[in-house]
Amino acid sequence: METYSTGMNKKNKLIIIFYNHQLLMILYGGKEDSGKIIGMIPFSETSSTDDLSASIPAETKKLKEIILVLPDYVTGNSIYPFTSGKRSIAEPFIRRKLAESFPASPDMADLFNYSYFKTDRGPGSLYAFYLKEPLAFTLYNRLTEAGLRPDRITTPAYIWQDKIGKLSDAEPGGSFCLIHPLPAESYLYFYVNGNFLFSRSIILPESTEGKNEKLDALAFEISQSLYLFSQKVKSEISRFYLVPSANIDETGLSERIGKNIRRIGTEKEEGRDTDNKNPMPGPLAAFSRADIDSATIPAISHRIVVMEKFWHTVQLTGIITGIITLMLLCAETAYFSFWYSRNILPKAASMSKNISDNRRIVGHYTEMLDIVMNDRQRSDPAEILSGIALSLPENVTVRELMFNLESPSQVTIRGIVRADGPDQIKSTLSAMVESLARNLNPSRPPVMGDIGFDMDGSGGDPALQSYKFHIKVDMK
Amino acid sequence: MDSMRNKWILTAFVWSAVVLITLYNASEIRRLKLAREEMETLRMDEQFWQQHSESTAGISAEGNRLFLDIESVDLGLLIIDNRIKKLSSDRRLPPVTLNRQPITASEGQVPVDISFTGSFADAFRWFQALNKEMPFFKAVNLKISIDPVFNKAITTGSFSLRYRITLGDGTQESSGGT
Repeated sequence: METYSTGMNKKNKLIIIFYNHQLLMILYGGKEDSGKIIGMIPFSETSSTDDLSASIPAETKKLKEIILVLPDYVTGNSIYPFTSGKRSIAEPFIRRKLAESFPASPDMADLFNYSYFKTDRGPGSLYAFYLKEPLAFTLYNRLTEAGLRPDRITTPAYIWQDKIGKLSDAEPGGSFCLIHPLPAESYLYFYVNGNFLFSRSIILPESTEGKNEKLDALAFEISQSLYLFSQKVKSEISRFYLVPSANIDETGLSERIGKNIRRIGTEKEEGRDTDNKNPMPGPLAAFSRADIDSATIPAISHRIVVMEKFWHTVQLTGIITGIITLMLLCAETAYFSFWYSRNILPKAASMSKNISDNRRIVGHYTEMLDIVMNDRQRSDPAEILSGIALSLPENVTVRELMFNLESPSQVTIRGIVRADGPDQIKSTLSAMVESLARNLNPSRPPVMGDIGFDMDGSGGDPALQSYKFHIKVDMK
Repeated sequence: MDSMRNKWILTAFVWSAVVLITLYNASEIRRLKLAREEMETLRMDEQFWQQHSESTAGISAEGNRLFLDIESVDLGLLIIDNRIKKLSSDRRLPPVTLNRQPITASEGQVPVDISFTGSFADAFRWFQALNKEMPFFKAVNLKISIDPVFNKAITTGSFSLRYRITLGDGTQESSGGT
């Protein structure tokens, strides 16, 4: 195990390459634009999380973006005829298909990606690619547990797929083969409808007879693989690409397989003389860090990572909007508090005494007003006596007056009327009634019908007849 | 997953706080509105009292005249007896007999019986003087029997004394109704 000093910051990205049972950690981005190896850690299926965690530089665990590059053989791919590329339909479909096809690997349903494509000949299809080897799941889980959860997982074949797709003469959706010769081995990549199908690693013989034997061996393996390709997809390769190499004669290989081969330029090849510190091992030797970091490379992400990225904007918007709203509301609260303490409290303090005084005055005033109004409505005995005295004709004598001055007040007058006949009695009493109505301010003016007579009490001067009478007058 | 869950928790927390502060601010707005309305009412009350202070003072003064401020009921009856006799003698009116009714006084009022004999004119003047000088002493029931031959009027009646008990320092303890 080897580790190196770092000096990383949050802008750095970490590329972890699994090759030859080792994890090669390359720091990239920020100040380390050319890439820097910060660790080489042996890894096998028996490696524990603790060992891995102890071997990883602590600062790398703070990095946000981690790319894991695995060998091609740990991934698999399947093509499913499907009419829609809609995420909400396609994803559950692929999960179900993978769960049915690989019941022993439940993690597979969380570690896949897909693309939708259509050919001229048939309906649309879903191209699903996924991790399939237990080693890959173990590695992913150990890295996650150690604090280095990969954002994207890719392989050399998918990096080549992205590079070839960006070539100016690329034909989208075609079937092609890529030959990548290295000094000791060669890699063959096969693609159908633009999607990676399978790859092969070929150990070329070390021979003293020159390059012909290597060419023959390579051509033979290509022929075998083409046969396998046609068996798998019932289709033929239309294009061949070759990564230029000093070990392979491009013309000789083209003659042996009977196909035209196009050279594919790489940055590594162009900068071969100036960059002798290429840290990329084996099949990745032709790639720069930028090639591996390209966002367009087909890559597998765990469903949780996908969901996190999907909801990231929503959550961020929700949090920022919420915090802004919260700040505005807090400002509103502060303003209310300020306004209350400035405008209400001082006035309330100064008015608090007036409030109690006013309430006491109002209560007292209301009570006094009721008493005064009742008193004003009450009949005054002196006024009643005065009114009765003014209302009595000459031939009427009052004998008794009874006042009930509680509401409803009433005055009863008993007296004697002297007259020489009924007509005079009537006219006398009528005048008295009219005067009473005028002078007493009754609630209802008295009428002649209110007068009662006591026949048994008559008497007095024989020349004039006297009659006792009584009358009740209702007062206001 | 933890990161996503934490973000959801943070989002929920922030928006819960938004909802709570919104509710709090809504209650504050209601409280401020009520406070403003109350202050406006008080301001209008004050304005009203300032504009009508003369008439309210007049009503209060008139109302106060309808009560006799006394320290005890018995003392009040003594005062009434004294004042009525003085009122009669000052005006050369016939002497008046005053008796407390043997029934329980209602709060703030004491029933009193009064009788006197004089002319009809005397009765008129007596009531006139009573109303002017003792407005807290009101007639409830009256009976005036008149003998025209001797120009004599016998007045008997039930009266009510409206009083307020005052403490030694002049503050009122209770007051009577109408």
